[in-house]
Amino acid sequence: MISKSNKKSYFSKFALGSIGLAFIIFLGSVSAFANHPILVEGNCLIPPAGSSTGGVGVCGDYDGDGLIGTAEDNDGDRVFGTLNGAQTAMNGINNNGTITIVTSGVFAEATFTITGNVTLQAAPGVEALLDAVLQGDAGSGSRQGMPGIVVDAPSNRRVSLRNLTIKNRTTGINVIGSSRVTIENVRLENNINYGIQAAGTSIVSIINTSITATGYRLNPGTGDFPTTSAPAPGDGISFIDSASGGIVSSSITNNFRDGAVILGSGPVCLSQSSIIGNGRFSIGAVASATVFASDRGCNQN
Amino acid sequence: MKLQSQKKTNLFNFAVGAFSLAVIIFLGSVNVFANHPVFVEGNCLNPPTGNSSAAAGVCGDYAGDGLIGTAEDNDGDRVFGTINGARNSMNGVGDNGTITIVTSGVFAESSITFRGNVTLQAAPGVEAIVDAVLQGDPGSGDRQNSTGIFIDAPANRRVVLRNIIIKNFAVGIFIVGNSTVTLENVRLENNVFFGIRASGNSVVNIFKSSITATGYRQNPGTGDFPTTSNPSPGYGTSFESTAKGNIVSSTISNNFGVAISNSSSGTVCTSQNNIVGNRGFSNGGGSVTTSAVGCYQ
Repeated sequence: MISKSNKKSYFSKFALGSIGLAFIIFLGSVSAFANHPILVEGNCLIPPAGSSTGGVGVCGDYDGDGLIGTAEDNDGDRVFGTLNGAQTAMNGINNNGTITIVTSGVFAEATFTITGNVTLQAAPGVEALLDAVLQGDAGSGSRQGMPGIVVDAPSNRRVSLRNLTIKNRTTGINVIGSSRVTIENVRLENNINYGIQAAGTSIVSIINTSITATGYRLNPGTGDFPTTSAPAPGDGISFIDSASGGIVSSSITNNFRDGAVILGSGPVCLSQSSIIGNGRFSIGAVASATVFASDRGCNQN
Repeated sequence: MKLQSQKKTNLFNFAVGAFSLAVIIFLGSVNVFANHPVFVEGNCLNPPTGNSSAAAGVCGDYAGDGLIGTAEDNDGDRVFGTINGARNSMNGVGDNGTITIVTSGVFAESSITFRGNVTLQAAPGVEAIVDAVLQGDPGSGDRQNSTGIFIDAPANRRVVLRNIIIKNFAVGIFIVGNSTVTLENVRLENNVFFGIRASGNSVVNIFKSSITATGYRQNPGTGDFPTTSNPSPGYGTSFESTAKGNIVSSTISNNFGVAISNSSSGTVCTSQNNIVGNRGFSNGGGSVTTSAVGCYQ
């Protein structure tokens, strides 16, 4: 027999508990989607990709907890072991926040997709190599058939990519939709189709960046480009649709077909860059394109 | 009867073993020549070159396994202790892949040669000095008469050197044949004959780089250049035969000879550079152009 006063007490405790639980869930959900920063550790190229086997010394273990790779992704703190873990794991940024890679490593991961206010960067002094290939990893073949980074953000969001190397993909960085992207100090090498492709109504700022050897890749499993397999098409940077942008203080060299090619209607400005050794045009453009070279940087809206 | 069945078993075991060996060799060869990345650790300048005696703290040991130098080259992982080890050892890139130096060090190695799709770079913030001289190393004399990095790649391959210092060689970087090369943030100092020499039909992009003090080196064994020994010619950069190139956002300063020698039929385009203190801007009779907006050829 439960007394009336006991019943009231139980009810009140239950109500309080429910409110508390709801509050915790609310806070949790706010945290998951808040614009918070997180860190990503490097590694020592031990296959498979995201390996949590550290070996002696656990190289790359920035937070010194003895964990790397996917084990670091899932330990509940704000330091991660893979880029995709930093996006999607508990406490990850979930397309709203800053991912900073703090020790050098190779991140042989599937396409990294960005749809919100995201900064993805390596700390100064760190080499973050987003390479499709990791020797001994079974996914190296299939990753070479994928883009490295896809940015598909609405026009009310902004994306920054800084101090990264993206290698051995189909396209290094694919910018689509209404994305607004800043690419600073990024190296793109040995991607097959495009180093960077900007499409849709995107606006892309490229500065202090190097795009080289697009269309040149030799792999026993995926082909010898361009010797026996054809790059499609092997351009350094391509603007299509009404995408627009500026290319400043950058190097676009030794790509299979064109250095920079503007096939859409958006204006593209080039300044203080070095373009040489590309197979067809240094700068190619359709007649309707607006392309201009400036000696004072690129100043456009 | 029993002997025959044993023979069959032995034959079977042999066949399985041989097959497994062949698979391992095949997989190994695929791995060795795949376009994979590797890391190279730095060091603390303990002679001889590639020394694997770990000093207190094992400086440069990025992998944290207590190994450096040639011992790190040969432990079977994907982190190496020398540049030539990262190229030639088991799991090395051969002539197809990316070598990233991840901690600072001096790499007293010579004639590092690339013939394929290779990127050699130091991580940002890392000082990777490919220096002919390592105090106490008996090879220091010979290396000063050799080439630092030699590139001879066919037209269907691409080479990138990034964030590397090359010092005290006869020629810092020597590019021949149909090589197509990108040099970014490369510093060449105190090489005696040429900082960068491009010949053959090569294409060379020199970007955000520095070539200085070519022809100036003093060493008790190899001479005092240019005071008593003659740098011939002591050019900062040289383009020969049909080689062509861009030189953008770079410094070419205080070299014994000219900044840019172009005896080639190809064009050398320059833009946004700081060129001063050399024995003239250019010579050789080839085309050297200057652009305000960058170089696009």
